[in-house]
Amino acid sequence: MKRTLVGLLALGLLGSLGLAQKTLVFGSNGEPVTLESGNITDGISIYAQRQIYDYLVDFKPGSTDVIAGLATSWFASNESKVWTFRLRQGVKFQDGTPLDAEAVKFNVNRWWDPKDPSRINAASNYEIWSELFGGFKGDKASVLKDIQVVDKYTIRFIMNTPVPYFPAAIGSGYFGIASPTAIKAEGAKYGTAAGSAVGTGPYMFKSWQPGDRLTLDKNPNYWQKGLPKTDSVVFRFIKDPAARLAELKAGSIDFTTDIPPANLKDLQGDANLEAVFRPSFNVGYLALNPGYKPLADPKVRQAIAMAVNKKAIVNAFWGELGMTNGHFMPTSMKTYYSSKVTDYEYNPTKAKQLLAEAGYPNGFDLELWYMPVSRPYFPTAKEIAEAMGADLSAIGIKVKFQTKDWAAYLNDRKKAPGFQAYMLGWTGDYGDPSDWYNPHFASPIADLFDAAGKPLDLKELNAILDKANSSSNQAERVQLYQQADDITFGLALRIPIVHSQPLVAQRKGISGWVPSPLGSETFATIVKK
Amino acid sequence: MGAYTARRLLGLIPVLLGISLLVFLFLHLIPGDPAVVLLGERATPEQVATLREKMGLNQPLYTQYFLFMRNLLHGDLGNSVFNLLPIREQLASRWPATFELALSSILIAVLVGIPLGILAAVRKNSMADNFSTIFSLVGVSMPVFWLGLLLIYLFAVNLQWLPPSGRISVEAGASFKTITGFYLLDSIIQGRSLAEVAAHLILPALTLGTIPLAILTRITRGAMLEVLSQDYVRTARAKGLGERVVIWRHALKNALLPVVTIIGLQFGTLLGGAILTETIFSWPGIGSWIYEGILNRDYPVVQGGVIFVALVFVVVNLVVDLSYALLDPRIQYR
Amino acid sequence: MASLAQTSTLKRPPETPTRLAVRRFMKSTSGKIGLVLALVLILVALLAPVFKPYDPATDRNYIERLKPPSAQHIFGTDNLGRDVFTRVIHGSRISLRVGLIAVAISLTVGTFLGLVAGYFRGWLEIVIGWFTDIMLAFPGTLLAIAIVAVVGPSLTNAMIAVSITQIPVYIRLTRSVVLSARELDYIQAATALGAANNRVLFRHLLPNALPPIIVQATLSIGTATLETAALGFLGLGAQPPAPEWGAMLSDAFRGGYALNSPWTMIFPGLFIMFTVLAFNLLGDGLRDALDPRALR
Repeated sequence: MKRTLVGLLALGLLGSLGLAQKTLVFGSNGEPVTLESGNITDGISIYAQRQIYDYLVDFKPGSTDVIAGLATSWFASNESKVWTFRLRQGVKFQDGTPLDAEAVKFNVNRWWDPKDPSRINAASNYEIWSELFGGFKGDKASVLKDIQVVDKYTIRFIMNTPVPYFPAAIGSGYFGIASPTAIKAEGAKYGTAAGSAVGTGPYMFKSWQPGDRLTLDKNPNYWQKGLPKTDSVVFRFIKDPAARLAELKAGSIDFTTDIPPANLKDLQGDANLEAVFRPSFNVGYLALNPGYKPLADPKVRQAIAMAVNKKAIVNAFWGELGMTNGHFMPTSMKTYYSSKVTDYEYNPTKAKQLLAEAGYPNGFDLELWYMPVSRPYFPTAKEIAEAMGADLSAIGIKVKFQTKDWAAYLNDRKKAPGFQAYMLGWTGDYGDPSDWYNPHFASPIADLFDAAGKPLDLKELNAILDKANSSSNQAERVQLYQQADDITFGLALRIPIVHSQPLVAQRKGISGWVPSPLGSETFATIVKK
Repeated sequence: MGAYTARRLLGLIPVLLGISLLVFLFLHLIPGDPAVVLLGERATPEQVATLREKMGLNQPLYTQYFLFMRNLLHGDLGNSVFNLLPIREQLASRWPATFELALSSILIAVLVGIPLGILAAVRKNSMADNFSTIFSLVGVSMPVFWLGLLLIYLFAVNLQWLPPSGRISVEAGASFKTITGFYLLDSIIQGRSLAEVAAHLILPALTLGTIPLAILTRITRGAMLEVLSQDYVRTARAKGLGERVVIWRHALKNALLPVVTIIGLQFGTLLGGAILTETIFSWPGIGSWIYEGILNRDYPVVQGGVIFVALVFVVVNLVVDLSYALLDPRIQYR
Repeated sequence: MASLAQTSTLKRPPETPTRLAVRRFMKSTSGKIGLVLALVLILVALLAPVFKPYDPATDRNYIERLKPPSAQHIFGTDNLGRDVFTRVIHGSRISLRVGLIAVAISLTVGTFLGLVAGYFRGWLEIVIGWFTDIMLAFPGTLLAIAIVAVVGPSLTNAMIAVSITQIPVYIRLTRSVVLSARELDYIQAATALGAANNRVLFRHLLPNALPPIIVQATLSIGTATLETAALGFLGLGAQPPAPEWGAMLSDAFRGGYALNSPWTMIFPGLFIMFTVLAFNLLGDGLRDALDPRALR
């Protein structure tokens, strides 16, 4: 191409070095918070950790099916109350520490036990463990009761309640198995830019320049023979999509994620680039808080579900990159779909009628909160909010748009009386419906409120979810979750707007990248020409 | 001169106290408990209590300020809430990027602005003068963030002459050692990647440098015109000295005084403008760091960044004032 | 002004200060261009609803997204299919309003504090001077950003933040004028005759300070426009669906389409530049007219 200026200038200096080394450059849409496993909730950190760590179980590329990871086999006994994992033998951490049952126990204790001495970072609280497994050690609701080292390569988890989804959950991107030696040696520096991170994964920590890049080198002793296929991976932190696309076009990054759908046409028109779709594993929804009086009436919420032209919005903002079907879970979970659910049709007249029946013939005022950041489920939250606002004003609901910075947004929606209506979404952690229903509909619901300002408690639905959580009979679980699908659809508390296939892109010459519906995957299989 | 310096230094004390007070109050002005603000949404009550104790939030405000000052004097600005790293370390790793950018911008402004201003003054009302006038008018009216986007669009995306963001490419960065943090200097020391580093610097430096460039052109032109109309220049001309000698020996020397002042003042202003430029070019300096801090509600970062920039600003202004006093012909010649 | 008017009486028939100023202004090329540009902008702002009566925020057409400029949409359309031209001209209403209000705030507060400091001297002057020095120890953009970080992002907060950063300029300006003016004979006389403080301040001293203040205020409108747009660009200023120019640029950049649909960024930026340019030129012209001795 025309990279003459840099090209000519750099040629003399670089030419002599020879570029036999294959470096893969990833345009990361931000900087990891930390590389310490189990102490993160954001996708950017997970992406980086996936390259450094391995997990007890792994997922089949491009799907949510569980396959062997550091554990080669596992089984449940006592109605899913006891889970036993057999570990792969002969695997070593990048610092030479052998991977064994003690090492796994060390990691799990660190996440689970608030009193664990290896928890050094004062400001860390390993929240994600408690979110996925009911609580920490000592909490009443904790699903984990005990961890036992059976022998050098066998570890056993004893549960308080049946946890049929345990392998999928412990294999989620948060829980990479880290080297106990490194954590003990580095203390509070572990996982930060001033320290390092040590796992058993395909790439090893080399350096982290804050605000700029994270460099990982090939793990020469990786247990999967022939992997990774590149010598190093560099995460360049480029927050804004326009800048990242410019870099991709210039060839200074090889591949990137989180591209706003408006750019699909542009990508398809560039011969050097390739648009790639990540299989949908998310939902973008509009939450309606019954703590706000007009929204306490299900008729009003259903009216809103009818008034928002979801198909037009999806078509406008995602095109072929999104779909809407009324189900809270994406199509990769369609085993659990209720056949009774067909989405509310777009019908402003009927919506107005419903509003009138509920006692709001002239509509009402509504504060609609949209996220200040781009997420795969709502890449351009602000514009989508505006589109929904326009639809709502057509049935007399006067929308006022609100936003806050991201952390405050996440936090304040849980403070009574909460936001009146807000946009949010979910990307699944693992392929089990419990991961979708529990955080959103299990009582008490932290981010929706009742008239008294208490977190919402849906007794009937909660009983179903409880039953499904503790059943190890797959057929029964399917039937229960189909019921849950039915009920949540009728409640219209979280109106599913979209299941999107996030747009990612790579340059021609990159192959072997299989984006996972789970949102992150290893780069070990990627080949660069 | 010594007395003047002492007076200026003494005069700084109340200003520095004021800055520290303002930055100290910053955390307290944000609605909500500072400990909660610092720890973020996932903090447990115990952690909040511990931090309140550690920060002395249960003590009267003046005691807290005293503690804050003591830590500040020890260079302890706390830790980031977001990635837990000490603010001091992050400042240390990021300021060279910002300084390199700001210095390059000033350099562009000086190398282009001063000759352009001189040319405009010497050939008053010529095409060159009109061009420089229009250029400087448009330049000071330019939204830098827009200019940055235009430059990326033109030179990085369309022509692909220059890289769109960052300080060094991945290929060159792999074997590049950060010694001083000033990449230009580092590349000279190592004898490699100089062109690489320079290429990455051009667009952001142009973006950030446009306003000072415009101002400098205008000031230089004005100062030169002023000086050229002075008696001693007329005398020099009357003595039959060549035009070149008159301009370079006599006029320029005296015209440069206000120009030097402006350069100093602009440097401080650049540090503020760097927030926008660094954001657009993913430049890992203080500006993008403060901005990320605001987005992440990472208040210690914002606090540390703001106090750092303010201190640099104050010091630069002091140096400008002192050098002005040192160079002022009225002091020299009387 | 008084002394200048007197010197000219020697040569030609008496001329009022106002007429003199107008004559000087009309001689200033930049002043005239600035005046025309500013008038055009004000006209555009006033007539925006007449040009395109539809609502620039909600009128969207999904199918017409990101279309390049054409006869139908002369500035093209944005990612929601909104007409960029309409949004840009409606944006002038926001920018002019914000610029004027922000300047009005900083001018009122700053001039008042400057008058007080210059007239009463003593500890008041010291405190106000201290405050001014502290404010000026922060680069303007950084100070505005820090203020918005505390009070939260919104157009109003951005406007207030921008006006706060401008206050010290007016304090210094007014104070220096007052310091020299209070030595003038007629003011000394007024004080000696026992005129009330506020009478001396507002009847005698303020008029002296007005010309440079008017010049500074005009220039400040440009600065305020630029700073507000910068805050909007960082997402710390105007919020949707307001068609604020900085926010439009922010959308284009963060939506990723700024570089493949460049019309979405070119036109809002051009309008920011023209607005700032207009008031800078106008300020220059006014300086030539009102304050000819000021250093350019």
